[in-house]
Amino acid sequence: MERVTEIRRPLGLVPYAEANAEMHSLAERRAANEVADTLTLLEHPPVYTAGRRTQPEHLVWTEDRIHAAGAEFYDADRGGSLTFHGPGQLVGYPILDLGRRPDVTAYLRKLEELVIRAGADAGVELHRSDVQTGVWSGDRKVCAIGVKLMRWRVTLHGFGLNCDTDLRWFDAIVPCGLKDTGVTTLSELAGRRVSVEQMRPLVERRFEDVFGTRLVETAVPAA
Amino acid sequence: MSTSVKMPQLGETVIEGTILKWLKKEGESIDVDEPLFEISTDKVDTEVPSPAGGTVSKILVPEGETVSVGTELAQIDEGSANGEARSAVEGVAGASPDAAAAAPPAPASEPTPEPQPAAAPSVASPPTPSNVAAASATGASSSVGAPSRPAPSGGPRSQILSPVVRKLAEENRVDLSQVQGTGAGGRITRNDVLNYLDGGAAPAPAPAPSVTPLAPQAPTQAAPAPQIAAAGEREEIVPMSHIRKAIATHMVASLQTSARAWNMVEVDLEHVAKLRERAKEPFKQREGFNLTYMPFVSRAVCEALLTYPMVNAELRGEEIVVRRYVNLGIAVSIDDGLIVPVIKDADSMNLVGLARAINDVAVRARAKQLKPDEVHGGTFSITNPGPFGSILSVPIINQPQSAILAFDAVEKRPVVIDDAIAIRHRVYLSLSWDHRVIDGALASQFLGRVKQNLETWDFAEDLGL
Repeated sequence: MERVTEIRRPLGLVPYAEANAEMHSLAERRAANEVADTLTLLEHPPVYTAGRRTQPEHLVWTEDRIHAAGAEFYDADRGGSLTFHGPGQLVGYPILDLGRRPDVTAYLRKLEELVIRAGADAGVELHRSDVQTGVWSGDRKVCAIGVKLMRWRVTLHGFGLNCDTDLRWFDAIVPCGLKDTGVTTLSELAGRRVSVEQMRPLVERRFEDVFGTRLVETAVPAA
Repeated sequence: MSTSVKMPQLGETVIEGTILKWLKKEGESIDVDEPLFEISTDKVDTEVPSPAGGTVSKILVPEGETVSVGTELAQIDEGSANGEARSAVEGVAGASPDAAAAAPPAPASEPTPEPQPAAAPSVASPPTPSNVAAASATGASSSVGAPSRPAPSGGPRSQILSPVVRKLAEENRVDLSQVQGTGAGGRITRNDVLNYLDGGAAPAPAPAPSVTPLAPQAPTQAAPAPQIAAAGEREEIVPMSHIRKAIATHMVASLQTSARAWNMVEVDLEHVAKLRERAKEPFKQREGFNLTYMPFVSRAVCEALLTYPMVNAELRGEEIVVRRYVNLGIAVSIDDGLIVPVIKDADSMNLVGLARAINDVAVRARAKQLKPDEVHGGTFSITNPGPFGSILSVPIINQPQSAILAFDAVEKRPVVIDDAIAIRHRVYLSLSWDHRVIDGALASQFLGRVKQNLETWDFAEDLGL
């Protein structure tokens, strides 16, 4: 029995509310074993999302100013603090059944691992931080991670990898509540444009490696 | 009975967590595995399912507080799930008149008798002192449904009734307080109810059949009557050792007790074999013993047992004890026989922990240094005849467990992958299981899960690679 994961690649910029609703519905159905594991890779239009541990002072701009700049603002039921998603950032939402009582931090390490490997494939050396979840280059974060485990087994939310994101969006917030560190993109690190479309296949392949699965267009749940 | 809910270990490196949200309030009822609260650790929020069903009787740590792993967070009162006939039966069977009368009217029970579907006809037919007292105390026709109702005190007599007994009592309107229990701990069995219905008083206690045949003093049914045979030419008479006799008795008893059936899967161990190859040297240097396949299989099995706990169960009389922990028996071949030391709470160990534990009990078993309690209390066993070259085994279940897994030799075999022939490390995993408790579908699902775990898990992290 080979483990497979259904890959979903919605086109264009997917509104956060839509993706969020779809993700929760997938997770419920995953928990009921009505669908297989899925990985959705997409881009959002500009949106700020606040995790459950967000502190108000981490929002630098007012919500009005955010809306005026053309971005949306949502609360999200995931771990972590404030973050930004937008064009140029590859967002991954793996909805996986990790089995009963999985090691939740091991799952975070796997997400980091796949991004580190995909970064290396694109010629950018990335690493973990000893203290903070996420993927980094020096003291600048290139990929944010925030996750929820439904019933301590099915994953929700995921990672956002900055490929060629306009970093000015991050001026609005203290990303992830970290004051002394910055944010960067793969493009900035590589010294050339690294697009979301370039990273997609690399991230997909490394997801397969790290999670020991095969991505398929349509999958049915294992019996 | 109340169950204490503790801050769980969400990951090996996690030492504390913040209570984000209680999903139930005090006094609310909850099913086992229904989400009870959410914990935040680092970048993960995790919904934690309840370890037991019943009523949330106490919440000890408020939202927003950060506590370390193992801290008691809440208490669940079992057996007081609201509105269930079960409560009624227990109340009647177990409560002394005093206890029932002393129970304060629960706030939730309205003076107007609400129709409570599951509460049925208050179960017991003739009004006994106990249920009269309870009914009048609540002022309602039904004495059940009060979530905060304290568990009835019932003395040594067990209040745990099997669904079969409950149903039988309900159907025949038997007042269980009048029935003498003869099961384990004074528990009321199906036969007790039937005997009561036949008009008989309690019959002479009949011990559960599945337990008795294991008594060590039972004559070894495997051995013929002790005729002192004279040795013929080129023959030798060897008396059975103590351990030989014990094995004989235990194995024959298992076959006589259980309805053994058998399934097998073939597992691709290519990833595991490669990883083991890579980890072998550093592991040996660090730990001082060889890294075998057994810890990998054990780890995969423990997870599958928690996923399919019926395989990890024990039939006791007419009730099934289902465990949410794994005490893993490891069959170890020793000079004059076989012994099955038990690794307690094996489900909480990672790969290296299991490797150490397995090595430890194997070494001490061969040195005859196991303590008596280290060979008892197993919930599932693994036997590993592979090192001797066997590729397929049909083991006998180590009673009172319900199943045993045989892990045979790992071999390179030709297999077809994507229409090409490849050479892969493969192994047959077979399961002998007791058809009284387990069915073929479950056995296959369980084996499928073990297979899936072994084929897809990344053990590298556990090994520090």
